[in-house]
Amino acid sequence: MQGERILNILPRSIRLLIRKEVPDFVHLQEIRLRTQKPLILVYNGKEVFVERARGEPYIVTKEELREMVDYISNYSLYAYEQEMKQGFITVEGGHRIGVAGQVIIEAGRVKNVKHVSSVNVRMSHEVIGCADKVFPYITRQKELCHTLVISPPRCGKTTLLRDMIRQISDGNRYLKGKSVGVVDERSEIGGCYMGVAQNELGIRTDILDCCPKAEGMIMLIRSMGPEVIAVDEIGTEEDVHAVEYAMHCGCKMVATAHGRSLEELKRKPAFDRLVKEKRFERYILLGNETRTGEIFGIYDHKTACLFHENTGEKKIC
Amino acid sequence: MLRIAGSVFVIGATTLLGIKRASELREGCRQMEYVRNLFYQIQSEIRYARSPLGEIFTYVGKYAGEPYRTWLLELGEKMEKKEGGTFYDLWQDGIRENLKMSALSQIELKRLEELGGRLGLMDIDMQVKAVELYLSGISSSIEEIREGMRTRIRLCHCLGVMSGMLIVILLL
Repeated sequence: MQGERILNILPRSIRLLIRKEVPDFVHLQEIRLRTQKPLILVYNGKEVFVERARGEPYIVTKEELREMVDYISNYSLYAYEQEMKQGFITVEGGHRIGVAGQVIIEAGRVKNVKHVSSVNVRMSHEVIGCADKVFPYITRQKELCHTLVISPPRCGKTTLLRDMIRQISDGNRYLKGKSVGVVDERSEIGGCYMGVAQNELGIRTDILDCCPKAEGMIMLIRSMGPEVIAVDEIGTEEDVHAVEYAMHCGCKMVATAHGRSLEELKRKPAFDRLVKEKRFERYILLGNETRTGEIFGIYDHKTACLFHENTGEKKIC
Repeated sequence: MLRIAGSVFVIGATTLLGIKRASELREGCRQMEYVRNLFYQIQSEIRYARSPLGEIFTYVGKYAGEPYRTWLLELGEKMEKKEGGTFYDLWQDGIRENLKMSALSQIELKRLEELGGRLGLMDIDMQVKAVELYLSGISSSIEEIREGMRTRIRLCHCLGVMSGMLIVILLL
């Protein structure tokens, strides 16, 4: 199903090749297409060159990229103007399609991208149960702690967040099911299609698709009364303000942010204050040294280590 | 007696042909008004919902009358399947397959085909303006047809009767 969805947005000539080359889509991470350059897959963490014939790489043509842009935009580029400004479109299933080409500037700001010459398909993977390991650390007396997941790109933070949302919403042995409000600015968490989440997000989840995070959090608090709010990739000052507002409203926050370590996070102006004021009660640090989604460590509000992958330190508050 | 009966039949038949032509004129105008309404709906979906074209065609097509229903639903389905061809190709094929037998004139079909070349592009303002341009074109055509409609219908009726009489005179 996931494979078919992603094949559907590829140029027809490439669909057959990928079908032959990729035995299962679970381990496929990226498909990279560049005009007049070889077609490259990232499979199981390794680069694979797709071959037209033995030893001869498949070269992507300009027409194929044009065809692909038609498919990813559903023949309607105007409907994805906002997404194109950010350099990517999220398609059904939550897969992120990055684009590069000639940028159109208006009043000194990026307006759109034309003559697309590179496309990067980043596969979204739903891993049911990947958050099992973190729940003993992010819950306290059957209550959820404000949690921030920190990791560099491609380390599985959205995947972890998605499974955390599912388990918080459905309930598990560590906490009772809670109503969760998700602000999915880039459609990556739910992979919504016409407003309905295609990924499993639990029975008590309300999702605001394609909505700016800061505005969305406030909308959800006013309209849906969530017990928990989940957002992906907070980063701006505005996002941080909205997170604080949600916390003051009595909602528990589950969020993700880019970073390699807690120290790096503290160096970012917006987050420095959040850490100092101990807004988040738990920090989960991810990496991909041995595998994607590897949990490096879990820290409490004072940034004291509760769990560490290497030392195996396990201390539950 | 037989001649009189024959003459009545000939005049009756040509009169009916005239009436049929007049009703075709009326139907053509009615169809143009219907297409205009469909595009008002499509325009507002683009402007306010910013939905992709396939989604709009499927939504509008569900409530449209034939042959526009089949045309829009099939177009939406083809766009969803993503089996090749540019949007303009799909649009033109759809018009040729489904609207050829409609009451729309060749000029209107051509105008509709040309609209396809301006849809699906980058800018939302451009999209709205492209549909606006089409709507203003079809609106002025409707006005022109309406203005001359009464005269044309009368002409069709008269020509029907008169041509029958002419045939009768020539044959007698």
